[in-house]
Amino acid sequence: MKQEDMGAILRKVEELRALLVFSQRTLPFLEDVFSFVTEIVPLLDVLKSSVESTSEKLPRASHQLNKVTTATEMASTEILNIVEAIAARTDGLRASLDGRKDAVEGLLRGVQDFPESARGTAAFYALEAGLRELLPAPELYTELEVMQNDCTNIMIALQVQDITAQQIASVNQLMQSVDEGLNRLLKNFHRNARHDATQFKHQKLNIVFDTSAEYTGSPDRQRMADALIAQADRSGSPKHAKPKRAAKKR
Amino acid sequence: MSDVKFLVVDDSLTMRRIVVNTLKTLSYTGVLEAVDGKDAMAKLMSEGADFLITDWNMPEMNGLELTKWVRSSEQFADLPILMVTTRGNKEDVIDAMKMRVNNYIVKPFTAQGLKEKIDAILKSVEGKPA
Repeated sequence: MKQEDMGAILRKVEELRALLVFSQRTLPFLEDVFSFVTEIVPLLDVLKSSVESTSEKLPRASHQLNKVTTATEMASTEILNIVEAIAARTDGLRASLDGRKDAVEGLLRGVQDFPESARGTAAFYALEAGLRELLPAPELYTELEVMQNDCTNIMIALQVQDITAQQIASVNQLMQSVDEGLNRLLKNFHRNARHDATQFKHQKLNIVFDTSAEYTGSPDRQRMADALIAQADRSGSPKHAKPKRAAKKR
Repeated sequence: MSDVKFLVVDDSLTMRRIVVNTLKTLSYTGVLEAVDGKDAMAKLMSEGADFLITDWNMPEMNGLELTKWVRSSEQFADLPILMVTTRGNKEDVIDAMKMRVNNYIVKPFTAQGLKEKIDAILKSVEGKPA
């Protein structure tokens, strides 16, 4: 054996020794990695199932929210129908009272034309008093006014339907974003798991919403708007002319 | 005053009914309705109006775009416009003012609040030469 061959063998042995030393040092680490992977795989399966389950539930939740919007809209319509009917009846009652008032006042004016001799009698005073009693009591008008105000207040409160519909639409859009993100994640978990991942299953109502919509009794936002409008008016508002009477297309 | 012809624009049927009924309690009986900006444009062109009450957030054409169209049209440039919307941020009000709405109401409004704004707008336009 030549000396060069011996040198080559020694270098190989040295490399082998270095490899063994390296393996000896990395083996515990590799064992840790193996152990970690062994533990993480079931956890990833659980995570995948959880993401799948959540992703499947989101369109259902979205659908339920849309049903809430539809139901509140139907309920609001029914309430408005009733309130409008009550308002119409109070208008009818007012008209009826006005008619009765006019008729009685006409009779009262009529009895004033009785001859002087008749007007001084007890019978005349009794007739006049009887007629006055037929006049509608002022309290009736007050009650009607209160009822009409109540109807208006109920109607005004129904704005809550429009505002909550916008809030629900806003939440629905957030859920849609979350679902899209989960579907992308699922695709990475298992590329063939869901072919329809990009096909969003949420049913969307045609509601254009404002994310800041809120039903509140606080006048702060209106005050802010009023202050801005007033400020603009003071500094020279835009020109607005007298409204034209229902101008039609020329 | 009650002969003013209103055009109420809102994509929510509930809101339109609320505004229309409130106008009726204020003795304004001449009221047209539109479901969005495009519908409002068509109603204005075919039937006209003296006063526009519009929502902001609507499909097809929103209230701000409608206002822009109205102000840029020769026929309706001076039409009084009241914006009634849920948008209550300062930037929104400023954007609406830039489009020259006459006044701005943040939902939910009260009947009294609506009356005050309408009265104020009518008073301001009546005070100017026709």
